[in-house]
Amino acid sequence: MILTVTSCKKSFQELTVNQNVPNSVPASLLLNGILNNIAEFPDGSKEIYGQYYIYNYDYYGNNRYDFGSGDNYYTTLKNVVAMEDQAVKAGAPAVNPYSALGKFFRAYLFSKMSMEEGDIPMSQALQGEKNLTPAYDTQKAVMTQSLAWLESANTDMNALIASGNTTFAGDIYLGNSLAAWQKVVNSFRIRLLVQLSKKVGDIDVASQFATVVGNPTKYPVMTSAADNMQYTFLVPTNYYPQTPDNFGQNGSRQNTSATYIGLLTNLKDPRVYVTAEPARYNVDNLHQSPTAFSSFIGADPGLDLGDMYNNAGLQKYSFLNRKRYYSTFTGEPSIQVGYPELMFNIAEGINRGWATGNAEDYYIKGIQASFAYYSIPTGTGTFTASFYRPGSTSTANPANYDNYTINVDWATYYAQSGVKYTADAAGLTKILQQKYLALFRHSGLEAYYNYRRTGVPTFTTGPGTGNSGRIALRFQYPGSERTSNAVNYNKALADQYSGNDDINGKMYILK
Amino acid sequence: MNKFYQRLKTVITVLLFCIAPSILLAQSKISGTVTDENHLPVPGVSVRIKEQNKGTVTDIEGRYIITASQGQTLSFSFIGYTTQSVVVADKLIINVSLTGDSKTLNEVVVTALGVKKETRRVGYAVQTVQGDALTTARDPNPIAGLIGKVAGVSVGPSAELLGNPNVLIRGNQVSLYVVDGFPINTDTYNISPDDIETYTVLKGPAAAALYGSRAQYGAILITTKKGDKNKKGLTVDINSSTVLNSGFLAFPRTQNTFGPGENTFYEFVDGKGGAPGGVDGDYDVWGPYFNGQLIPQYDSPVVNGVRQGTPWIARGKNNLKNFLKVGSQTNNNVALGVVGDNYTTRFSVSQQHQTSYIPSQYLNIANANLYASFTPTPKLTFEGNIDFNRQSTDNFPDVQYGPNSIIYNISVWTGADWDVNAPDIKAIWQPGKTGVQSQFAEYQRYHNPYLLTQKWTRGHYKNDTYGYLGGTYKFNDNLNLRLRSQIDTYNILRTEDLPFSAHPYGREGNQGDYREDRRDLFDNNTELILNYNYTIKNFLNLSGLVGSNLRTMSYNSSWVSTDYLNVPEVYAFSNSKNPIQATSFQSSERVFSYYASLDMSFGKYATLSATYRSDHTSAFQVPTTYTYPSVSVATVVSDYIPLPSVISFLKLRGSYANVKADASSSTIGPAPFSSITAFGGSTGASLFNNPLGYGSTYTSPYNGPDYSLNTSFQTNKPYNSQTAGYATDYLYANNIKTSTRVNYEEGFDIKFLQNRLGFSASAFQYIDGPRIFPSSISTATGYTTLYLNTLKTKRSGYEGSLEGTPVKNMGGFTWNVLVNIATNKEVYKELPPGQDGSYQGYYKVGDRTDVLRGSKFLRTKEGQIINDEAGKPRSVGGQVLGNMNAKYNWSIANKVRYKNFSMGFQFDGGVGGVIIDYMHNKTMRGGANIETATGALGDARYQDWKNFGVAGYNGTYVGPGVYVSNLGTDGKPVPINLDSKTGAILNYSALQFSGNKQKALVQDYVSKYYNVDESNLMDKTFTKLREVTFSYDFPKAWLQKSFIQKISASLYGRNLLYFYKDKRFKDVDLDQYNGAQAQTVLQSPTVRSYGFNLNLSF
Repeated sequence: MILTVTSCKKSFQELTVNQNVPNSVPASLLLNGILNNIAEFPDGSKEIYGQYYIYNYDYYGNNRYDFGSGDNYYTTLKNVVAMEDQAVKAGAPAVNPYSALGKFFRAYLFSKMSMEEGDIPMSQALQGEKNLTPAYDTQKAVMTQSLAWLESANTDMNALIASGNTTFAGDIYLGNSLAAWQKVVNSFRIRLLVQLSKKVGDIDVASQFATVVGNPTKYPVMTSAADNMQYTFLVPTNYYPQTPDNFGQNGSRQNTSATYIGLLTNLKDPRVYVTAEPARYNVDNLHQSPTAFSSFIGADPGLDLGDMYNNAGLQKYSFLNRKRYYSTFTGEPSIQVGYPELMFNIAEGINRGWATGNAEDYYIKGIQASFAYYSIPTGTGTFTASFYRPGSTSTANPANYDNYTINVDWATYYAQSGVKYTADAAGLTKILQQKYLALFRHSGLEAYYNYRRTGVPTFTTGPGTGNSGRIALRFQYPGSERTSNAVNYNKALADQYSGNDDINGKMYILK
Repeated sequence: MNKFYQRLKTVITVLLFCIAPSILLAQSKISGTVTDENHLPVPGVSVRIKEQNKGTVTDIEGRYIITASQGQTLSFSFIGYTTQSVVVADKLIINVSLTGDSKTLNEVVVTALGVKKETRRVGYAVQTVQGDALTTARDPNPIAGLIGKVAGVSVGPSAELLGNPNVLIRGNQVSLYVVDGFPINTDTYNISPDDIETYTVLKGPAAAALYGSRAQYGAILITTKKGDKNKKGLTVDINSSTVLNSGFLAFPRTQNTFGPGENTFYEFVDGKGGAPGGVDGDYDVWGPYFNGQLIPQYDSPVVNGVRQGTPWIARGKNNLKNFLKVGSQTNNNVALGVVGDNYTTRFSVSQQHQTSYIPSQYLNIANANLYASFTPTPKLTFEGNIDFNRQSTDNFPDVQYGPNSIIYNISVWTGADWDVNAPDIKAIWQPGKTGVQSQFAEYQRYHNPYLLTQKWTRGHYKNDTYGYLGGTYKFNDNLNLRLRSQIDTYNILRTEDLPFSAHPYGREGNQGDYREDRRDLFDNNTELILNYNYTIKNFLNLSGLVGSNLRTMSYNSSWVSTDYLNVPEVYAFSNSKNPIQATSFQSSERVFSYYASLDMSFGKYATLSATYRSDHTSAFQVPTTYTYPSVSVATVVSDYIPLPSVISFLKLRGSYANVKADASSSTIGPAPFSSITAFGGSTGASLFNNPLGYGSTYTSPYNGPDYSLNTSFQTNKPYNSQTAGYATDYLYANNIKTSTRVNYEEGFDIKFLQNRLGFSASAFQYIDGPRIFPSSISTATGYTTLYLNTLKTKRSGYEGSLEGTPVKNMGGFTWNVLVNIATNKEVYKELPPGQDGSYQGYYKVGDRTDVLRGSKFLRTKEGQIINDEAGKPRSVGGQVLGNMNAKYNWSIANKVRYKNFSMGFQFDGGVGGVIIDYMHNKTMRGGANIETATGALGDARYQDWKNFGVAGYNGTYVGPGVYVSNLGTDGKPVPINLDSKTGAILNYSALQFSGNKQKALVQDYVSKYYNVDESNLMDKTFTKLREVTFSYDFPKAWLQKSFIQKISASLYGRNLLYFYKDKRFKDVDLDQYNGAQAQTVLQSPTVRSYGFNLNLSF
């Protein structure tokens, strides 16, 4: 009996193996995982910190700047290392598409973490057990190294494309096109340089900017929205955060912010008809036109939520446009690094005198790309604005929307003094404002960073802001640093923030 | 019937006399069993022939064989018992029952591997509970009845049907249950309490070391009934009980004055947020005052496409109470015992049917148990036992917080505006939309409770079989060899039928689903044990065993789900709308062990025991061998030192053990190492993933490898069904060794007044670690976790047990009392490298491990709450709220007997400890709690309703506390700077405070105030009147002429009274939070039980 019930075929050694999981996977699968990990979606706290689309309902969230830990991309970076290793193990030469992308990911993710926190471990990071307590690199070192990685990635990509060695797989953004990624690399480099605008004297920002912008052959950048690094939502596997299914849950729990809506209505910007709805109180009770700019009202993000929720319940605010964001399961693609932003970034660099060129051209291309993204004509024409009819029972049903034909005349729009570019400080403000409008629901914390760096557009504060009414300047380090890397962590805090992991502390690039 | 057997015996005896006189005159082999007053065998009894001065001792089964002649006298003697003499007559079998000499202890306890020992020789704490103590006032769970019965054992009973109790021995969750010497994989429901003779709790590792790593946290040994060897012939026992569950101990405290909605506003459009402000979907209970005003509601008539207003009244005041019904439970057991001279058999069938007080939900358990032993020759015994257990229900509850929970739907998030007894609600479906669209007051997040209980059903079908077969060969009185093999196997099928229009978290498409969770486990133990027992020169007794065990287990499971359905109410995978989602898991483990034990008794002075076990296991990075030594000593001081006569017995004991553990897990979840991302659940390298975004996961017994020390890549399909890969986030130190627990225990047992009063006390110290510890490391390494041998904790505690008989048979009146008390605490002794002072952000060596941290209000030095400029309280996280564990647990049980009547009652409870009441947080913030509608909050809430929409109205309620009143240079209030590590105010001297004057709307104020943990903090002190029993034994005289030997009938009640400190927390029955839990979970109301029990023997 014992023999029949006891299987002793396998050795003890064989029984230690977990047969349910792989012991290695190819580089393409790791790339797929990395690309999923780095996606930044709308409907999170990042668009609240950008004062775009904010909470009114305390139970679900708030608009407080009581920042906790920042994003932690180290394990993703470890996967980047693993991806490079797996590519080489599979027989690829030392320079291959994965290794070139790997350099981009390093620059992209280390700089993102540093933007959030300040000094971070970099040169001693990702060494596993070889260094369990990596020392922190200064933010300057992180930024300098990130720029160098981007340079190197571009060089590698040029070489790979020239040699025809461009095959890789697992891409969810750009159809496995190395040439498209090369444009992302250089476009991102422009973003990073612009973020260092306060450090022109300390880092060679201006000359790098001029080099990249001045040589599109060597440094190809995005030339249209088709080059966007963007995440496209899909049915049935990858829904947009807002869908007809969850409208009843969160459709009224957030409303637009005055920072965003106020800027649009001040500029008589037709985008407001696409991204928002008129405040029904103004339309139904005050009998204003639903397409009057005065009917679009965002809430002051500094308002106490008790007041904001009460006002929102009384329909005194503009909500997210139901047609665009709640009538389908795919919404709009989420841009990670995009062409409109690039245009504004180049315009800013030129405005700042880092390179020669026509800032206004870039500025106009940026605005027009943003219009085009919302299918708003950039000449003379019309588009249809759709507003959800109060008391309707399905956001998915087109019959539940009131449609309005909106006339657009680009020339009239552009001729406004608040829009028309001027090659001066006011022009820079306009660039930054238009960039802010183009970044609605996109690119993570970029809008917040621009505010933090330039004060544009004006962010408002109040009891709803938390943090004693202050817009926080940074995120805290991950909790594991405090627990497990205490010596280096405390040194980094002493070096930068008087020993406190202070969300109001000023990091190097802001000084 | 008795007379018949007596006659038969006489006939046989006569026949023997006639045919075999020569045998009787010669020397014969006499054999028999020596038992004590409780019919338990007594090993080590000296059996001597007075005339010849030769003799033997009984074996562990209390058996002996001796060659003697008719007329000689056999003397049976043993310390603690009155010596008995029997003259050898015509019988070849002489069974003797020894009685205690009342001066000393004489109990026998079952120890590891089923070895029976006299307690006097046991050097560690063991407490035994008779099985019938748990079958009279029966709990639905066989183990939950142990509450309060054993000092140091804490049982947190689950309030739910099919819920597992949380059984802690000295603060650690016990995972080892041993039936007749073999470990079983148990969910605690696959044991029939009617088949249990005794429960023996081996509290410390020294007691359990022979079982290896599974006994790291102690063990519960179950000895099954095997037929009474002293009752030859057929005996029949019938035990039947019926219980009604009625009356609630803990019940949500909800208000009926305000309905659902937001900011005092509500109207129904589509129940999915179509109303202004989305107030008809996923709403709170912060709606309008019930004033009879006309408001469009879910069942209001629609005239010309316009929904009319109907009176807004609290028509569902007692929805939860009205929904629940009286629950019941029946248990029936029939046991047949057939005992002959050389065989014993017992066959027992049990049936349990439990009908929940939640309508439509039930549980059936059937259990069959067969035991047989056969002794063909005095040297050889064969023994076998098999237990089959079937649990089945088509419908059991899931109360995990979420839209799947009754409490969530009735008591937390919906109001009294709908009536649970309304015909349209009871009809479940909207007219003409059967199977597709349910009828309810809301369609976004909440559910019609009848849809929940009748259509959204979960099935549980589990077959358990465990049993063993073996034989013992007795070389001589001193030596025997036992070979046994046990199998333990289960298969489980769990199903879930999710109907159309049900929308739990992550399944908002309302298109139904069907899921199956299948699990199979096979476990086999084969052991060979040589038992020995030698006495050298009447002083040194050596006994013990050497043995070996081979354990092999294999497990496989699958979890499969549709991704929405095509056709409603067809619950089949072939009906899946999108591709099926599935995951599977398999594992196996082998452990080869050998072990030995030695008890050395030095006359009456002391017994020194040592055990040793070595395991060679596959559940590790590489096959690993590890060992467990243990030593214990017991000395009965009263046997050799004269003590005051008031002390009748004094024993001192001490023990040491070192036990280790490999990388295995005692339980497993539905989808280990799952990569399913479609449903919004968890994935990854864990045995306990929930692939769903809602509901509780079922963990079943496993005791297999967790593969935590194996490195691997992970995959899942996060985008467009394409596979993504991830390298491991775990690092492993070189040469990781098994986890270690070193255990010391000291104690004494003392008895007074001819054993009328006994007190037993133990102190213990456990050094746990270095563990195999997943240490959090700097993520900048690229990894989150380093597995290494570190983290030591020290758990120390005390427990005492007082047992007394204040009144003994005074005119038929006897009173017994048992008091148990236990306490323990655990502190850090060694932290991972570099983390002393920063472990988990806060802790240093010496800190308690059960510190509860959470958010507290930011306060002035005088203790006033600091508000922001809007008058809302400010808070700060990471603050110490208290300790999670109770200071101590206690129980007191009394049993009073007068002639044939007896009455028993037990109180038990815990003192100290804190927990965050999650239910309170939710019901306050959601507006359903009665506190939101009474007092100052209720008054202000009424004003908020009266003034709804009034321009400039910003509330009435003014919260307590202060705000920062001085302005900085920027004209704004001076900001408060907080220390990022402690939360302390850094610039306190720069701040000036004034009393808060800001008015606030109640909903937002409450949502903020009660989101601070401090405001939901609950003291865990409680007391329960656990059980009361009244029993009557029918007098033997009445039964003499019938075939019935015994009838006893009992009336009993369980969980009758519940006392707790703060009535704000009446929604929680603290009973179930016996461990270190940070916060409560949603629970069904707990009920009182009233039962009737009938016990018959014939």
